[in-house]
Amino acid sequence: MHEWALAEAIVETVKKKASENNINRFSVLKIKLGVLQQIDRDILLFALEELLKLLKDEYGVSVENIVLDEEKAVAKCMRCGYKWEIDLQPLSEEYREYIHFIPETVRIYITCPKCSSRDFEIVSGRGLYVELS
Amino acid sequence: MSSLAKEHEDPRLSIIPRRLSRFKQVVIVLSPKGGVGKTTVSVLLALAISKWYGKTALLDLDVTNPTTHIVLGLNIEEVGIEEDKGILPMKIPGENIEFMTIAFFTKNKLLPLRGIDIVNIVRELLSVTRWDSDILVVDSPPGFSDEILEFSKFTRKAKYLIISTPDPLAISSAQRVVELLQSEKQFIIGIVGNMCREDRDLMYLQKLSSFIGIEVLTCLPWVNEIHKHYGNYSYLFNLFGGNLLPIVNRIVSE
Repeated sequence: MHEWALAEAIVETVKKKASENNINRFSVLKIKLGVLQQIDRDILLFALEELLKLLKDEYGVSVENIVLDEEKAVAKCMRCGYKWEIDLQPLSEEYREYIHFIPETVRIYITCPKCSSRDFEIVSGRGLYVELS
Repeated sequence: MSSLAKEHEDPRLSIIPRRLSRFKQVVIVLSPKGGVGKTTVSVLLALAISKWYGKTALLDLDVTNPTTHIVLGLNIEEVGIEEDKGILPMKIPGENIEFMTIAFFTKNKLLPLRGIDIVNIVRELLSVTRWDSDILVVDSPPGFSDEILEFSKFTRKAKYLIISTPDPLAISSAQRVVELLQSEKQFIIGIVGNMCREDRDLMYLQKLSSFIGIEVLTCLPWVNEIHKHYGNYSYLFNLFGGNLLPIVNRIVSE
């Protein structure tokens, strides 16, 4: 249930934004899910719904819709410049789990397909971002 | 509302201050110079606080080349990850210490990282780790870079314990970091001298102390082939534990 901790972070952000902007209702909470972090959408949604209920009860802040938007994991090699979409499927379940917890550990398990460097930038699809409207 | 719609927020930034707020004290064990004994002192300090005060958290903030687990004698390949609404730090068997390190996820591999990756890892560890202690001891990496800068921005409680050996390189490094911290009005607990062999070693450190106005709290003696005892922290604690009492008293009394 590592997703629960991330859901807490998202709901804390909703609470902070509501307070900063003097708003108590958001129409959409959009969450960008970077593929690299392999978030379990069902667990995340379950945790969000539970925590948002508490937020509404305790602080009167509500969110009408939650939208999950997946973002491809793309890397760019810092040595040769090659850009590619990261595929975690060939990795063992154990290694995928480490990347799930800490996406940067992907450099231990994957190298640049062109030059074998581990010095690559994760251009997109690393983790979670939220957007409120 | 329209300005909100354009903002992409990193949710971890909202939760980290809350996660760290549970600690009454946060001690960053620091030296810009490598090899002065930060890791050994961090482990022994966490042990001392846990024995004389209560449950203590220990964080290895070196995310590229972590080594705290080696001093703790953990077989990192066999350590599993426990979850409960987040990641639970490992309870050190037989001790009142909970411990977190990136090595749980990297095992015995070196992790090559650029600045933004270090920032992301520090944020990830701090946002998902569910601590259960009152005091946190942070074993910091050499230098004064992303790990320390990113960590310390999330808590105003951070206090710094400076480690220095009596040699000129370490003393010069300690002086630099103290000057920087003083210029930012950060709280410095004091200096721990390490690997002191002769009376004049203490003199060198006391000269530094009077120059920068920070007290030398203790001087840990030189031990031949100390590396042979890494992993046997009880032995190390028997050697040095008593020397750490002034530091524990200083931390706990704050």
